[in-house]
Amino acid sequence: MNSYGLFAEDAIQRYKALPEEQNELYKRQFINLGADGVFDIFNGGAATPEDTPESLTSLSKSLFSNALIKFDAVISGTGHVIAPGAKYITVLSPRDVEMGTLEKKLYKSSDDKIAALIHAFTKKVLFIDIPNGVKSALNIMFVNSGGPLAAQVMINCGEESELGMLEWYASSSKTKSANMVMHEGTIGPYSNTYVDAVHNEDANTIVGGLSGYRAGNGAVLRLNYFYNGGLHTKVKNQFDAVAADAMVHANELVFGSGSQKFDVSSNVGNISPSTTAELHSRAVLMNNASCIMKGFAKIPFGSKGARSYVHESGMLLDKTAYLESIPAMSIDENEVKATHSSATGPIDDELVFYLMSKGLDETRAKKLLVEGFFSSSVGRFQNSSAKLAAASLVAEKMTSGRYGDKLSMTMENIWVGKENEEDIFKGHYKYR
Amino acid sequence: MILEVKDLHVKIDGKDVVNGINLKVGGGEVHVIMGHNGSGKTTLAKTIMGYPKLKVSSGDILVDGKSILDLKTDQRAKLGLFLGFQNPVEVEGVGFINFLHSAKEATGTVNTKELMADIRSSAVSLKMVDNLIGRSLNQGFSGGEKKKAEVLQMGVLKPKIAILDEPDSGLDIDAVKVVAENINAFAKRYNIGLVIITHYSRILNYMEPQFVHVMANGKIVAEGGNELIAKLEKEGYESFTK
Repeated sequence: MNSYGLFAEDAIQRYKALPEEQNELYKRQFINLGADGVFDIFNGGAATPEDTPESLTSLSKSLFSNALIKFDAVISGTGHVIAPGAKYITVLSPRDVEMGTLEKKLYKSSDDKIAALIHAFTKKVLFIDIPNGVKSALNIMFVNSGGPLAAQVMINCGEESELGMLEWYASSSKTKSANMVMHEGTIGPYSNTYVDAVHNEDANTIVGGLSGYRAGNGAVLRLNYFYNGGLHTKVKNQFDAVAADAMVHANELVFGSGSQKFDVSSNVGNISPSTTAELHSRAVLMNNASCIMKGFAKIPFGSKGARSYVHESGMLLDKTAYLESIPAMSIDENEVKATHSSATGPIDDELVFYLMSKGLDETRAKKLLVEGFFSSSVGRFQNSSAKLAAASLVAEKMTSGRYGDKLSMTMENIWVGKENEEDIFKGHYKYR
Repeated sequence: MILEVKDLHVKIDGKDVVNGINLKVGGGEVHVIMGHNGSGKTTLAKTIMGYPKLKVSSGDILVDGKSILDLKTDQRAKLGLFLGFQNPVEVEGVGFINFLHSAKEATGTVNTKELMADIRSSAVSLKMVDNLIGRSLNQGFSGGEKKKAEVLQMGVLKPKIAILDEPDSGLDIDAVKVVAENINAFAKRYNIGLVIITHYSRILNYMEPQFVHVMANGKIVAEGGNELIAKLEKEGYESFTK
């Protein structure tokens, strides 16, 4: 057993002992990590056929009714990775990685139980290394084909490089399963990086995620996460502007229906002077869905000229839906601009009446209002396929309540936020 | 199409807000309802459109002889009723064109090219700022721009009876004329029956109302033609409430 193996064993033991699982509020509000929880999914999941490169390729294609997204890499629960000719991606096994490398990770097993779990069960580590001055775009699919998925992604963007990443999270398991992925990204000086992530796992899947990104001097980092799928989701993100003039723009969307539960916690940090760190979070919940949305911004002493903004807003479509929105800031420096806000409420009856008075039935009116509520957030996605997919998923869930299915991006009745001022629709246009 | 309001009573918190209104509007007719603040004009308009918080305590609203009291708001709109709001709400993220496309689609098939041409020509005619129709519905619009947007919607949706609740409030002198001329043009082109609710006679200088109704305390207290408008200008609403 190498050092990583020892580390994993240790993580498992500590994970079992975590007292948080005994908290009744925790149990009620989000992931059940008890007897039938995530840990046991990894330990005693039903035997499933091994997937093959061919089956994974076929799967990635079949999840979309048209091939609008071509994936550069697909990673499955069994640890298979297909990366046909993908530049800048190195696939590592944990046994190939020594603790010296792993210790640079933001989340150690003792910090967080999801980290412990991912450390314990990771089969593959994707190392994405973008050299200085290089521009690259990568589409990656994470799918629990063949078994629950635990994976780690390490990203290193060199100086003045550009990276655009689309991450698609899907399910392919007929039994209870999990998608657990940990990210650690270092964005080099004056580089420009975006990550558009879409979670569309099915109701069999427990979703866990940890992300830690650090934007360097003058770097611009845009992170757009859409949490649409999965039965229970627990994610924890840390986005820091660590050197002067770095900019971090984080954008989260949560759309819950049925019995979905979400625990989304994101921290942004202005760790150096003249940095910008923004967090925009929006949630729409229907049926019995619930969400705890925590946004926290930190400006330590010395970060003069920092600009920080945390905005959380939510819309509840049913009285049985539940949202707890918690924006917070810790500011130790005086010469900064910082603000936070939170607004949550039921869907506005006056708006519904207005739209219905012009002929839209109630369902259609509410669908339009939800799409409108998400519009600016969807518009922040950088990848046009991700943008279209996110808008499609919102439309699909509003129409049928469904998620986690094969995505039909038919481009009918799909509207997305402002993208191109010169378009005929002058900012709000329809893909046809 | 004929809209008929028969002895309509509407209560809010136990108080009669609309108290026995009778009104009959046919295609191509121009009716004006005038009255002081709080006389029940907007409540009447919203009740006709099926505002869920307003309950009809007695009386009836009929379209072509059939009661529409059991119909939802959108079903009334699909029959051909239209309400231009006094205070149009701002709808975040819903593009003006997206909204109109959805509204047209709700009442039948829609040809996007024709819709766009319709919107553009109406916007030009209403002298709307070019980028208004590319923005979210009513969001950031001035009071006057919102009113123009309501009239534009009427022109694009082509209802059979349009109730326009204070289409002149918030408009400057020139804009009042532009809005009135466009209302007239749309009404004539599509044979729309109009119910104009207003406090002031200025907009009526550019219109040809056939029927003038004066409301006070939830009732129609006077009915007639243009002579009523002249009387109102001279004597104010008080002379009708004594």
